[in-house]
Amino acid sequence: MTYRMTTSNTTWVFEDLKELMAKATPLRSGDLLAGIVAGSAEEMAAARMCLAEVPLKTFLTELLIPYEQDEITRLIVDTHDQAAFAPISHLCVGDFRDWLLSDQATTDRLARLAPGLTPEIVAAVSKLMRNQNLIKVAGKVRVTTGFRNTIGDSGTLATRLQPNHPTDDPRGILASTLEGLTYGCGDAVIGINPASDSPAAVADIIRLLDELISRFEIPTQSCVLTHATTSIKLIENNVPVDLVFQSVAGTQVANAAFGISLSTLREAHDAGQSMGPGTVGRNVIYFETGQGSRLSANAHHGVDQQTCEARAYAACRPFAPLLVNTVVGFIGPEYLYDGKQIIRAGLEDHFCGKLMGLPMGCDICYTNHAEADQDDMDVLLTLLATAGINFVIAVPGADDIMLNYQSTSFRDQLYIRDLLKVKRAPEFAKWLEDMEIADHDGSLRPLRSDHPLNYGLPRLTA
Amino acid sequence: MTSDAIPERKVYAPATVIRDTIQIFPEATAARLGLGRAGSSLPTQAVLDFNLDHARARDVVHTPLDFAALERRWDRAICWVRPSRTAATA
Repeated sequence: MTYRMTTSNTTWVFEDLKELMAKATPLRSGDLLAGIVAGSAEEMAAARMCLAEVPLKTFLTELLIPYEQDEITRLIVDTHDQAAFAPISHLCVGDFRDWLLSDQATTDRLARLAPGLTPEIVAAVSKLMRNQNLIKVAGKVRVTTGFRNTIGDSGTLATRLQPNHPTDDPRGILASTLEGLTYGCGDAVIGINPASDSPAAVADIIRLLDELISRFEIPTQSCVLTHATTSIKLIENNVPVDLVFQSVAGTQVANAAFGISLSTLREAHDAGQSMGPGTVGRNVIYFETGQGSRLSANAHHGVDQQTCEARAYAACRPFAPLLVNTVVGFIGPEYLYDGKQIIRAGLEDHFCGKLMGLPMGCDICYTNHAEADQDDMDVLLTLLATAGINFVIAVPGADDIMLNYQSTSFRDQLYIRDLLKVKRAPEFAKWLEDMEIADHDGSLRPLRSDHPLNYGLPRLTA
Repeated sequence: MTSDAIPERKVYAPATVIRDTIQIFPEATAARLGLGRAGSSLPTQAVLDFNLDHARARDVVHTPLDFAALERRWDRAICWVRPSRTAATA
């Protein structure tokens, strides 16, 4: 279907819905690279005016990627909850934006609405949102998950402790982990990107973290970020896997480039469930996503990268993940050029994921060839924490020496806790208090010289 | 600034930065550990060190590859493969 919008003496024509959505998208380098952006600032403005008038029902029938060609489109269509959608089914995109911002869109109503929202609908409305709107609406949504602790309660912010090491040296991993714990990090997960993908090496790290968590009875979970098929095999061999990890994209072809399909994710979920529930919940999956992965796999079908990203959340949704992490600046300036684009994308991803009912966190990060630095990360951290994000990353000194990029640090999470009074996951906060690492209010205590964690390192690496 | 500002700062600075007291093997990792904190934030020295390292990385990223120098060094080494200029580098 063709869409038209007239501004003064110019009539802008958009051949179909995906062209309209792409041209309405705030500028980013990945869409520019794909050749799908508006040709002028006025065309972008016209596209947004036109998109605002599109009825939400249109997104259920005019599919951006054909049903026959893509299993994620099939998942979106086949699992769409018409009853949940009904209260907003009469609205167009612009009206939907106003409704989301209104007091009618309460936390409870937004939770009930989530199964009725498709990724294309949330992507479309996000394109009409200013940054403050993305923060305000996402801040009303709560998505709570659990394994050995409860993540996502109102007024809390968790962290993934990320103690990566370039050669997977267990002493190096433990050194970063122990310091992170003394900063009160690691309630979302202690998650390691392994240098080696060999199942034996991955199993060694999993056992190391399992022993650490068991020995100190830490109410948290571990994850080694290896391919889901590797985790499935490790579970079959009784390796104590807590969370199964997988990177996910928003199209079938892009997921094929990751070596997965929805059936792989189903197997991963079943394998994780077979290990039994955690102490407080049974969310056993850790997903990572990020704008641009579809284009880098040349699998975007002419759909803008932000809409593709929202489709990745649709792929995550059936598997009730504990954590979904949008690794926003990791892909580099070919997709998100600078701090402004990274900040916008981080807010969009959090907004879209939360509206769809996912436990969103963000790796607030950049690479050395991006036009960004720690100042931009400070801004995005402050904005996302204000928006009620479930978790962020804590890596020593914000500098990941294995993946060679910069993220947020142990002290960055302290800063935001001090500023916004956000707490850690309650079970983890209690553990920190029992261990005399933090006070009841969450502030750090001086560590005793005979503190048990000081004796953890030699024995665990012996 | 008054003349006694400097000694005053010398007196106050060490007590302001909170040191990390967890015992770790410093040789086990190049990760940025033991940086301490000023309140809940990174102390000045650690901020400046990070800034310098990022600046160096940025400069390297923006330095064009010197193919002539690379080829000269390649010629000196016994090597089966020579660097070739592809369309991407032209």
